[in-house]
Amino acid sequence: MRCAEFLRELCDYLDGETAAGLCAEIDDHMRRCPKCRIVVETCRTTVSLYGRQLPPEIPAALHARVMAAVARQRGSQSR
Amino acid sequence: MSASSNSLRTPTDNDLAWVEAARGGDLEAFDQLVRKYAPRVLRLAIRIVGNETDAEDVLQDAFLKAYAKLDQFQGNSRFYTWIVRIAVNEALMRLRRRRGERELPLDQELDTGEEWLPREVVDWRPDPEQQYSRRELGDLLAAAEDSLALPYRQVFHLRDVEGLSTEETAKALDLSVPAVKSRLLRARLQLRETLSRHFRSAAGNGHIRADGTTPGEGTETHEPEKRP
Repeated sequence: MRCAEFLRELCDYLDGETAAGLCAEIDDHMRRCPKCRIVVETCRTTVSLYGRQLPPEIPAALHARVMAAVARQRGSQSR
Repeated sequence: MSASSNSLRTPTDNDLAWVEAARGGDLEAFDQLVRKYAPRVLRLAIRIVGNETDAEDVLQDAFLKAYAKLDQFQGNSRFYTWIVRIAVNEALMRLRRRRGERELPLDQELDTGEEWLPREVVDWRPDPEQQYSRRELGDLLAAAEDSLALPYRQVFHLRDVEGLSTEETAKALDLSVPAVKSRLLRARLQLRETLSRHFRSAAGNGHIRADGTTPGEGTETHEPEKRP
């Protein structure tokens, strides 16, 4: 397996969804290719960093604005 | 994956109960859904439309539309996936209006070359979370994500930031599963490349070859290996 072929399987590999038939080839490539090991590890860190980012807090005024709009819509629907 | 993301991965009885109550006219129940999901919807909208003012309008329009269409929500998918799909559509509509185009030329933004192949092949040490403050890191990650072309950014955001499954992402964006996987691969590799410029090891001026040697300058191209 060449690096380019390995990289095409990267997402499945990171997500633990490697097709059964490819596992041995992928493991073999990972053992032999230090560059791909670095790509895998830094890619894994990338995904992990983004996954840990907390969403912003919603300002009270924005929340109130959304709910006021919903209440107005409910009022107009029920008329 | 964070605990908060994980908690959104599993359907909650609360969501269904709140939807049912809201259908019956209970605004407080809908308020609970807004409280729970608005932060993620706002973050998603910011990444698509590019500014907070428009994103806040998207947030409001998405929840207004969701409220109007509550009867169409089917309990076989998560409320979160449903509101994400609505929010994506609202955000794209706003983007189109702003750009003055009837349709976003999304496919034109898809590159088909090989420039996504890794070039920066260096370790990230120390850990990026030790190198930067939380705010600095958040700004860096957001800027890197914003540098992705929209088709990649949407897929990456839903899949890796918001924690949707590949299938849920495909459904939310009206894409096939293979298209999601292909775009996710490009997005992850491109982000890794962009972030490498910030996170690469401090030693050796940031350039450490995979074999441990340090080149004088420049970056190392990741060439496909040749078998002996």
